[in-house]
Amino acid sequence: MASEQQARPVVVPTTVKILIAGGFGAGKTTMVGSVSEIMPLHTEEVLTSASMDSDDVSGVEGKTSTTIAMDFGRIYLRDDLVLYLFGTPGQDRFWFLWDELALGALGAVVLADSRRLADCFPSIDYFEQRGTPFLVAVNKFHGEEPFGVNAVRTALNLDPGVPVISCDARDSMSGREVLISLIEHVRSRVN
Amino acid sequence: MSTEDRGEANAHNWMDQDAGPLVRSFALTGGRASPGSESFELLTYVVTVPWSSGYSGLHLQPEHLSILEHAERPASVAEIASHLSRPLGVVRVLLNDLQEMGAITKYSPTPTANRPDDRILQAVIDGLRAAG
Ligand SMILES: Nc1nc2c(ncn2[C@@H]2O[C@H](COP(=O)(O)OP(=O)(O)OP(=O)(O)O)[C@@H](O)[C@H]2O)c(=O)[nH]1
Ligand SMILES: [Mg+2]
Repeated sequence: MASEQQARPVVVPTTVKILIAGGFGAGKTTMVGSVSEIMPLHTEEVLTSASMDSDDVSGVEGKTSTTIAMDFGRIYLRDDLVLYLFGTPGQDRFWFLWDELALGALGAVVLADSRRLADCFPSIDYFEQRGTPFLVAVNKFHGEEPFGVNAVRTALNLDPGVPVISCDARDSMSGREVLISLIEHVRSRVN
Repeated sequence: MSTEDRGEANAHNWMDQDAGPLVRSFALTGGRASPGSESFELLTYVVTVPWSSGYSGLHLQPEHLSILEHAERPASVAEIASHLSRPLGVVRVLLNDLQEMGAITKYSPTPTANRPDDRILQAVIDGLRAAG
């Protein structure tokens, strides 16, 4: 099977992981997809002690397991350097999955929908407690932002060191700029 | 759709009504427990050991073979799970099987997170700029 490749040295790429978090429907999957060079891949965890959407429960009363999908995207930056983006599961209660995702992550983007800012509180709390560097990216769902970036900062009661920027999750360039801002932020914390 | 009003389900009654995938997963793993995320993290890489090194593939299931084929070049656990369309827990059991028979080599992620090397960060930024 792999015998022809024997002579070839195995190059395991350096892999950098960034999380894309935020409330339900904030645009996480959209951003993972727009920034990645491939369609978002998909991995799942079957929860046995699970819960499900109220929609699902009606009609299927006996259903007591659920599958939590995690989207991820991959960007080959060089042959030996890969960036993985993991969208966090929307349901806040599956923190154990977040712990696995956050393990070894460089940092996190918290996507916010300005109409529903409170939805991203759990993500912000989580990263603050964990000490994971993050920034808040306000997704421009409606072209004009009802709140400016400073108003968002105030509303979310963010530490002055946490960057708040606006973005369009559907736009690859915009998503890349968000990632670059996050990395600059991580860098400023390290030095 | 709301995420709040999810009822507490019976904690140990895991068999799904339309349990097809779960039953298939159970058959694959023989009910063995997953070795856990410490063993195969999402970004742990595995690489197939050439057949010529002499391990026996006699008891391999198609999913094992699929992993071996996919991991001829280094492949992450996340990528393999996606490729197989199997839950992570199942994939970890299969990877553990392969590791025990000497069919794969495992490379745990380099812990860049706590003290990221500045050159790596700059390379990521450069790569993102170039690709955009
Ligand atoms: N107009 C507009 N729509 C967007 C934007 N970003 C995402 N959407 C849409 O908003 C919806 C939700 O986006 P998703 O990317 O699925 O959000 P998510 O955060 O992954 O959602 P969950 O995983 O369900 O929590 C989708 O229908 C997207 O097409 C945006 O910037 N502008
Ligand atoms: Mg999503």
